[in-house]
Amino acid sequence: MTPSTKWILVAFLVCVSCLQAPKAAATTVIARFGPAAAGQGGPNVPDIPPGATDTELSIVTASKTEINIALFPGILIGRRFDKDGYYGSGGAGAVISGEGLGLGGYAAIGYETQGTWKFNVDFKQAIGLAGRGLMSGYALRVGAGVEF
Amino acid sequence: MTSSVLVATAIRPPVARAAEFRLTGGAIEEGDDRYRPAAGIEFVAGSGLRGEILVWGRNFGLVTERSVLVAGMKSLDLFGNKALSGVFGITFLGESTEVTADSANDVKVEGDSSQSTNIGGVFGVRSTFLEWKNMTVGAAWESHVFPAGVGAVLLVTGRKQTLTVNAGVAL
Repeated sequence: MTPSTKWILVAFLVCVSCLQAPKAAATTVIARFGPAAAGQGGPNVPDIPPGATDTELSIVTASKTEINIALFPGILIGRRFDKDGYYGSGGAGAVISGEGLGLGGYAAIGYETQGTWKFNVDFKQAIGLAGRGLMSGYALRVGAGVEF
Repeated sequence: MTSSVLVATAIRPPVARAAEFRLTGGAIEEGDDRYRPAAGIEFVAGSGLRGEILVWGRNFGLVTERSVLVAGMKSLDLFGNKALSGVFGITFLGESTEVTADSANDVKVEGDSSQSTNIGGVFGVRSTFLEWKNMTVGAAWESHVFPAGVGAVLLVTGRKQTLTVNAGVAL
């Protein structure tokens, strides 16, 4: 084996090692689509393409803090616990429904595939207290995410 | 490694304990932010499996509505906190609307009465916040979600949301 061949072999092994190195935990951004119930009889069929009421943006940090931004059921921050792709999360924030804006909590359950690009399905229920009483929205949504 | 152990610990099934029988009472919401009283019973197996029956209804004029939820669920310590657990499972809904006619005002129309059933999934959050001798007191927040006909392919669902408290005794 010539010296140049050795170097090529070493470089190849280093590259393969780098590709297989464990990846540090990263932030994931997920866009989900699906109809939400806003306290007015249940969800309506989503628009095609999905409109603002059908869309949710979720950011999951390396420390498993979850930031959910949606018109319904609201803007909610919590913590995710996961195993083998299945997860549960809970937290609090601004709950929004057809009745208005209130403060409250949420709980969610879902499934997310592994890898840089992720498929996600999520059911989220929220309950909030506003001046006119309890507001209780929910949403079943599917989407895709990317890990940075 | 540490996080993997923590996650595995957080999601492990609850420690097995004696089976329990519970009486349940609370409110149910059917999609319109209005809460109606409901009552039921619950059986909790030591393995974390649980069965629940919840009934509610109302009478207004000649109309009598009765509904029942029958659910089978599995508990998981999903939130990394022993006081708070997640539950998920299968739920069955039966609804009955009866329109009766009285002798003074016979307004019953054929077809007004109806019965309907549906099957769906349930997800919720539960807490047992008081344990004394062989008795427990807890609360639950659950969503019983049902496919809404052909709209199911577009994720359109119907939901019965329950907010309940329960008092139980170990068997």
